[in-house]
Order: sequence, then C-alpha cells, then structure tokens
Amino acid sequence: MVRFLKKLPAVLVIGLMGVALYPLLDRHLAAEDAQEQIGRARERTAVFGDSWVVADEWLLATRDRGLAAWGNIGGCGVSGAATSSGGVKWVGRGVTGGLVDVQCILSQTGFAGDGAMQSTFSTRLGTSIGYKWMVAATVPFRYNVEDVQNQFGIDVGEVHLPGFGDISLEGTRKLGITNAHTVTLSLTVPVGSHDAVRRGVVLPQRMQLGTGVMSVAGVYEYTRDFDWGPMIIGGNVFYSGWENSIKERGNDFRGSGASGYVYAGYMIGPFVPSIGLNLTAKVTSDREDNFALAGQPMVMVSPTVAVEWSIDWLAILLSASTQFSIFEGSDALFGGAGDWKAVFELETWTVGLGVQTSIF
Amino acid sequence: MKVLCCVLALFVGGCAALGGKPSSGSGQEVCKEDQEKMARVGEKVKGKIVWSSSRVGNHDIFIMNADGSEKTALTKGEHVDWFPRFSPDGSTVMFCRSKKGWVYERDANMNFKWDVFTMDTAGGNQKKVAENACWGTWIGEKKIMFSRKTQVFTKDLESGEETLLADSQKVEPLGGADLQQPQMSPDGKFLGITLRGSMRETGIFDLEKKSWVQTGEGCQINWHPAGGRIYWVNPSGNGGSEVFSVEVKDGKPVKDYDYEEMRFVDIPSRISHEYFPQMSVDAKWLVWAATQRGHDHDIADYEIHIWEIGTDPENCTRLTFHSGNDRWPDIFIPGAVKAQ
Repeated sequence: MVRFLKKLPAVLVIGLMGVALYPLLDRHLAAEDAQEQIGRARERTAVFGDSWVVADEWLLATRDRGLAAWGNIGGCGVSGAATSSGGVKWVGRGVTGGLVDVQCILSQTGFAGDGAMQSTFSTRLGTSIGYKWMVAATVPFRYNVEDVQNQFGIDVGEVHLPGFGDISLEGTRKLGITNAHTVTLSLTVPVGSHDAVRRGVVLPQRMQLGTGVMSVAGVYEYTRDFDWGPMIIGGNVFYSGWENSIKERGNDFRGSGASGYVYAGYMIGPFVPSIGLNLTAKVTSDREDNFALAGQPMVMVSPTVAVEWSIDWLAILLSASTQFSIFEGSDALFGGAGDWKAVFELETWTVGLGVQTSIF
Repeated sequence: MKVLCCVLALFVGGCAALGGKPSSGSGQEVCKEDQEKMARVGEKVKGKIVWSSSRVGNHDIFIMNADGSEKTALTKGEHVDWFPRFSPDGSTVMFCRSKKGWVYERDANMNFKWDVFTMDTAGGNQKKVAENACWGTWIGEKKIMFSRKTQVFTKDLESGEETLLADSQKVEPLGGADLQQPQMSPDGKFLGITLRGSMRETGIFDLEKKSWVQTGEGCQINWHPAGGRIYWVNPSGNGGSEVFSVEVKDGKPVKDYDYEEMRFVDIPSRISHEYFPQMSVDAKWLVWAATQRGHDHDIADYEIHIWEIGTDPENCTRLTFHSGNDRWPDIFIPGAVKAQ
C-alpha cells in the first residue's frame, strides 16, 4: 500500500496526460472506425448488390461513435474563459458581455507537513479595449496562518497575518481570426507587506503577504474548442529576480522560471467539468535571509480538477488542485539551482470557489 | 473536509436543479425610441418573420410582422422546434423538431434526434417531411434539402424521393466532417457548408467537381440571393461575433480579403453578439439575432433584429424584447423580386 501511495503522483501525472491527449486519440480512432465501416459497407454492397445509397443508410444507422460534444455545437469560435487568479485556473464558459468582467475566487492552500494555511480572496476586474485587447487587475486579500520559530529555532506559536497581497496588472492581446491565441504581459506590483513582524519575528517569506519587489510574467495561451471541449494549452515565463530589502534580517529573493500547462473541459449542459496539469520549473532557487532554502521544490507538477456551472450572467467554479515537487534543489547559496534531486512529495493542496459575472 | 463535501453537494445539487434548459423568461418594456424604429420599418416593408423562441417553454416557432408587431405562436408542445424557413412562395414554413423534449442545438448534427416538418403560416397542416434529419432548407417550391450528419440529401416533396447530394466520408477534403446547415447557391452548383466534428470551418463545396474551398473559420455560411456573394458569422468583432461577407466567383472568393474588408455587420451597441443572419430574397433586408451576454444558441438571451441593407448598421431595429431565447429568424416579403 505504501509503495503504491509513493507511486500515486506518477500514476496521476501519467493518467492526466493521457486524458489530455485523449481527443487526438479519439479523433484517430473515429477516423479508423469510419474507414472500417465504409469498408464493411462496400463489402455488403458487393455481396448484396445494394445501391450506394442503401449502403450509406446502413452506415449511417450503424455509426454510433459520437464525436466530441463541442464538435457538434452549432457555433462558433472560442468561448472558453481561461483566467488564473488566487492559484485557481478558470476553465469554462465564463461570463461575457458587460463593461467590466468581475471574477472573485476564494481559495485555501494548505502546506503539507507543517499545517500552514493561506486563504486568499482575490478579485479580478477586467475589460476589453476594442476587439483585440483586454486589460485586467487582480487584487488579493490574504490571510496566512503558520507556526513560526524565532531566529534561535524556538517556537513562538501560531501567527496570523491578514492583509492585501501584491496587485497584479495584465494586458492581453488576442491573435488570430477567431482570437484563439492570446499573449499576456503581467506585472505584479509590490503592495503587500514583505517584512511583517509578529511576536518579534520577521515572518518567513511564504507567510508574508507580498514579495517587496516587482515581478513580470509573459503568458501565451491557445484555446482549442473543437476536439473535446474547451482545451487550453499554454505556458508562461516569470521573472522575480529582484531582491527585496529587509532591515531586521537578510533579504529575500524569489527564483524565476517557466511553466507549461494543459486544461481540458467537457460541456454537459450548463456544467463544464475540467481537468488540468501544470508543470513548473524554476531556474534559480528562492533565498531567504540571504540563504537558499534547503530542499525547496525546483520542478513541480500540479494536477487540477474543477467544475464550472454557468448561465448568461453568472458562472460558478469549484476547483481542487495539488502540487507535487518532482525535483528539489539543495545547497544552492546566493543563486543558482544547486544540485537537483528527484523526489515525489506533496507540497500543497488548494481548493477554490469562484464566482464570475460581467456587470453593466 | 466535511464542510467541503457539503459545499460540493449543495453546489452540484443546486446547479442540477436549475438544469440546462433555456429560461422561458419574461417580456420587457419597449422604449419609445425602439417603438418609433419599429414603426419606421413597418412603413418601409410589409413582410413576415418566423423564428424560434423559448418564451413559452421548449422552443416553438413564432411569426410576426417585419416591424415586430403581431407576434403569434405557430407551434406548441414539449418538442424543440427551430430553424424555420419560409418556402419560396411564403405559404409554408419548414422547421426542425426534436424527437423527444429538450435537445440542445449543439446536438443539431446528431440527426437521429431530429425530424424536419412543414406547416402552413398559421401553424396548421404540420407534416413530417424528412425522418432523422436536420437543417432543412428549400431549394424549390416542392423540393427541399437537409442534412444527416455527414450527408446532404435533397427530397422531392411530391414524389417523396430522396437523393444523396454530398457525403463528407467519400470526399477526401471534407474528412468525414459533419455537414452543418448546407445552403445551396442560387445557381444550384455549390453548397455553402459549415463543417463540424472532425473539421471546423466554413466553405464552398463544388457539387460537380466534388472539391472544397475553405472560406472562413466561423459558421452559418449562406448565399446572397443573387449568388456571387456569401456571408457567414465569424467569432470576432464587437461582442465576440460579426457577420462577414465576400464576393465569390466559380465557388471561390475572388481575392484574399483583409479582415476589415470582410466585415458586413457588426453592431456597435452592447447587444452585438450576432448570429443566425438571413437575407430577404430581394437582398434589401437582413434579419439576425444578437445577445449581449452568453453565447449558447438556444439558451442565451438573443433578440431578433432587422436591418435595411446599405443603411448605417447602427440604425438596425430590434424586434423582440423578451428575456427568453429568440433565434434563427427568416424573413418573407410578399411580392419581393429576387435580387439579380
């Protein structure tokens, strides 16, 4: 049992990748299936001397493999919403048509091992500028809870830290005649505190509400909606390579990296259940108090499941995800990734509840 | 964890209870400006519009004057009735009817869920004219065309004889795709088709050469009544959709068009998610439905609009004011001379 549990993340990753690639396989199988049936119809025609029309009727009657749900839709272009906020990816129809798109996500992230919790209520306001541009701002309110130790390693108890986190601003350019491609530039402005002190202790980096420095990210996404359901394939490159300043102790620094992801949804009436997989790799280690954190995850994989329900003016999303480290760094001082070690460890879990509407 | 499970159960249960059917909705007040615009349309054109509406439950076929007055239901019942099309003489309406209760339009190409019916313009003499078929259109006074997933058939209504016209499984460029909403060119040589399933595009199928020319990536391709032009819906523009149109010759666009050149209708107002465009036979009027929010053809709050072609599209006239779903209008103008 224990051996199986150790292999569970790998099984999960392989399974999700299989599901993500299923539409391509399904199309191939459907084509083969159709060819086979045409072949049988021809044989039947040869034997019974029926006309092609009769053979076609038979073919039609016996063809029961359904195509993808979205493949049969009467329309009509990319309509899947795909935004990220509060660690939750929104996959589904979303809501459009108002002057201001509003998305609120309440999420809770738990850290494996030490019981630390982060709750985030993020509000994302976005609007379109013309046909091809979108801008948005995301304001998170965070509430972090963790048992903290002082510089001598003595437990000072549970610390609570509420407040606004760093604000994210983004501009998106839609590309292609059906706007299936998007390129987004995101800038995070350091609004949240990065040097908060509780019980005489400068809180560790992950307990802080902000980073204290700006960070930038470039995102590319491609939305396909004719294989299976809305499928979002994308990636981003993020740079957080500025060191913040903390007077009471050494500075903090967050590593830069890149991620790639694929999410696939399926339409069942007003519901869009979806699954996704995100792979993130960092090229430099995080540093805290000027030292690289030992054993920090450098390559992470995050499987996600979610379900969206929507009507014209309201969409609700429930999401759950976990993050596993598959490589961790060690002994990297003052930058660099150090030596990587292959692991499979649960790092965090996140559940989220989102509401989306489009007002005015 | 218990709390999470309870929230999940409530969410799923609550959403399931709300279901996926369109809302019957309710009527909305018509402002004075809209009333005046409708009256002006009434002064210019004396015609009829049929469309499909969910305002009394599952979709039924309705008819109204071209100025939006005298809205009357032609069908009623639990079936979904949609895609109404006037016969060339305007005496008969053909439409698609679901075999059982509520069926999504996204299942339109699952032909075994639909039949094609005809009726007179008072809703009488309802008659099934094609079994297991969808997307019925008229190609003559007594001849119709419809789709069965990957095949397009014609049918002589007098003899009852069906003829296979196109089969995407036998034409390599069509790749076994679903042949959605086939529309025959006025000269009978080409089909404008929206491909779905294994392919996703609009294009023109040459019936003689069995060749395919892609014209766009949207849907709902249709012919100008005089031929020589096509129009279709593209998922771009204000509100997320607009109607494109290009000139065609011998079944092909006459040149590579720029994006802006193709724009035919894209209303600058808030209700600008345009779909279901249909031109009058004299090519003087265009009807469509548009919504501000949402996209699903049979659920979102689409409203019927009419526009005098050639005038400022911003002056188009909204004809329905109801929070239910209104879709797939067609217009018939008695005495209108077919555009040449």
